[in-house]
Amino acid sequence: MNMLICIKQVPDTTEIKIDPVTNTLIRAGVPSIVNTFDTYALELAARIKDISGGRIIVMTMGPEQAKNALRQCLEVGGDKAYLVSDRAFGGSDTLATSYILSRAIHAIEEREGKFDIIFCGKQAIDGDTAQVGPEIAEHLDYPQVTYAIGATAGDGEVEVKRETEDGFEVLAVPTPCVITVTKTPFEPRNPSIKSKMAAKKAELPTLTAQDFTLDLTKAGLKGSPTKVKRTFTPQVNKEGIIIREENGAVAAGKLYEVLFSKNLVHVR
Amino acid sequence: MEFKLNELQQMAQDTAREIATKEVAKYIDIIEETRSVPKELFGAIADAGILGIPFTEELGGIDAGYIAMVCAYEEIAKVCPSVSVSLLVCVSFLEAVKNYGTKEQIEKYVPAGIQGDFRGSLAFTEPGTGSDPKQIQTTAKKDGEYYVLNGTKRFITNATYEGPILLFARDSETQSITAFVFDKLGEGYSTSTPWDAVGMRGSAIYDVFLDNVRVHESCILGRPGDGFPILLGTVAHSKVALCATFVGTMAACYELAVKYAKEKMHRDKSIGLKFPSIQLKIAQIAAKLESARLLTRRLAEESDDRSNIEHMKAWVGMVKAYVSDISVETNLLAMNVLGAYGVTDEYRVERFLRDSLIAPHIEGVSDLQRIIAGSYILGTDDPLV
Repeated sequence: MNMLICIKQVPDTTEIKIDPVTNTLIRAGVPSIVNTFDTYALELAARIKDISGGRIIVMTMGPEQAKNALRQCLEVGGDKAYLVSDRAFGGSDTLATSYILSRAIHAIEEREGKFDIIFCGKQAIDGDTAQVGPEIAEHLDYPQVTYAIGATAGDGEVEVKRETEDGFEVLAVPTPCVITVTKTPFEPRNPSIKSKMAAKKAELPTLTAQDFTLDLTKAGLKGSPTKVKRTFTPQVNKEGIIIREENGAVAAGKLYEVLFSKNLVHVR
Repeated sequence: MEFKLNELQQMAQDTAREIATKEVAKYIDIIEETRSVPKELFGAIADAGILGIPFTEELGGIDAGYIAMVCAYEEIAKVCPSVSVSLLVCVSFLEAVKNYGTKEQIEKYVPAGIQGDFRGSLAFTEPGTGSDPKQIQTTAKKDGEYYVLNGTKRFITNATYEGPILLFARDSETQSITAFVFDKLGEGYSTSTPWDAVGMRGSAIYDVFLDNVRVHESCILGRPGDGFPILLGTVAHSKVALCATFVGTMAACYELAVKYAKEKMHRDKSIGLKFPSIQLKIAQIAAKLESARLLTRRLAEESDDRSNIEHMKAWVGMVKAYVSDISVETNLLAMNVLGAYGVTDEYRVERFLRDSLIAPHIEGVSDLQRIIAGSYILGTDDPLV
């Protein structure tokens, strides 16, 4: 199985603090990590490789410092990694990002062979849109399965265990395909000293806009139909309504009236 | 002079810290309750390459040297000292085979041990002797191509896990101490229930009973009668790792004390900022920790050089005694910072203190270590430091 993992280097959101004056995120000094869901995607791919063999290529779009994230992935199962980086890509929203990544995937396939599975984490913990993975599938015209918590590779297809609201379902999807991964029942493997040494020495090729074919009007700010206007923490309104009635049934009725009046429920 | 770790040493430390905080931390209560290190945890630590730190790549290690090894043990001990002790006994066994074994013995044991396929033990202490190994009473009677072992060994770590044991006995041919390597849990090998010690409960110690245990003469490590120098060389290295373990307890207690001093409030101000008595204690703990840590790393550097074993043994004695005593002092200071909460298990300082209490009494009692160092300095032209 030839597998590609798309990862993103993100700020460690557990370390992020809010500026009390501006009410915005303080990003300076916050350590960067590999997006949590991407680590589960990588571990899932590594487990497939443990059983069925194959190769794992890791890719990320970002600045030079994102190579640290790639090396961390090489420590825990990745065989090779590519950085996709160019000034022209700066400011890309999810649509532009997924377009660039889909073009980069073609360029990497020319070097590494066709991928059977393209894995993405369900969503990035900083943006939380969960759009890039499915959009990559659409750009590539591949079938996609989202919210995967397990997968088994077969001949020309993958059996994917997918989380649902009620439990899970199992789907068979033909390769090549895109699979986005949510939190799995298993944790990512630990690096060893040897794998760290190997990752440290690994060459990480960078693909710029010159290295593959793409329409630059669909990249960067120009190619982004959405723009982040402001990031802030919503003010928490501590005022509320206390319903105190003689019994639960009456209180429930009063609560329902409040919810109905605010259009939060719609059935009388 | 370079106080920073080199790249490989840093990797070893980072890997050990990750394994300790991600994996070892999950098992602390289980280790304390069951008085053992679970197989899956030992496997995870072996997979991370920790056991192979001081061994060559040819043998499956990473050849990072002793400074890297003590950094790794400190990180693990900072979470669970019992795990560190169990690991260092495994490594000490492998070190002994590597240093004194035949090619066949090395190939048989060292790569497999580095991979975590077994947990080795060392056995020299007996009911009648601990610090004076020349008083060993366990016998090894030659019988054709075999030796028949009889006797009792005391306070043996990893005694109940599958794997080999390096055992010292007085052999009938040379009437001197001979080192034997053979598999535990075979016919004639049995153990007591674990000793109930004040600390290091996860690295339980046992009596080992040998009742006509037959071992082939190929199981001899080194030559017949060469057991004593092998023993001294082996424990010298295990003492280095022990020093790192007790530095780990100090590092843990230091962090817990600082955290408590910063968070515990007295009339809207932290006790750390409010009370000079707390500040005094914290500063003392910091200095003692750093001195013990640097001395242990310096000892590790000395241990990489095996050209003068007597010099190394004196260094080991000096540092082991110092670190052992100071770890108890420091951890007690940390407990005092926490006051009444320090003596409860809520903050875990008490566990690290209990674990460090054994330090002056194992692998060579502190006073004897100082005698070894002092005798060397005064009996040779080597000033040692």
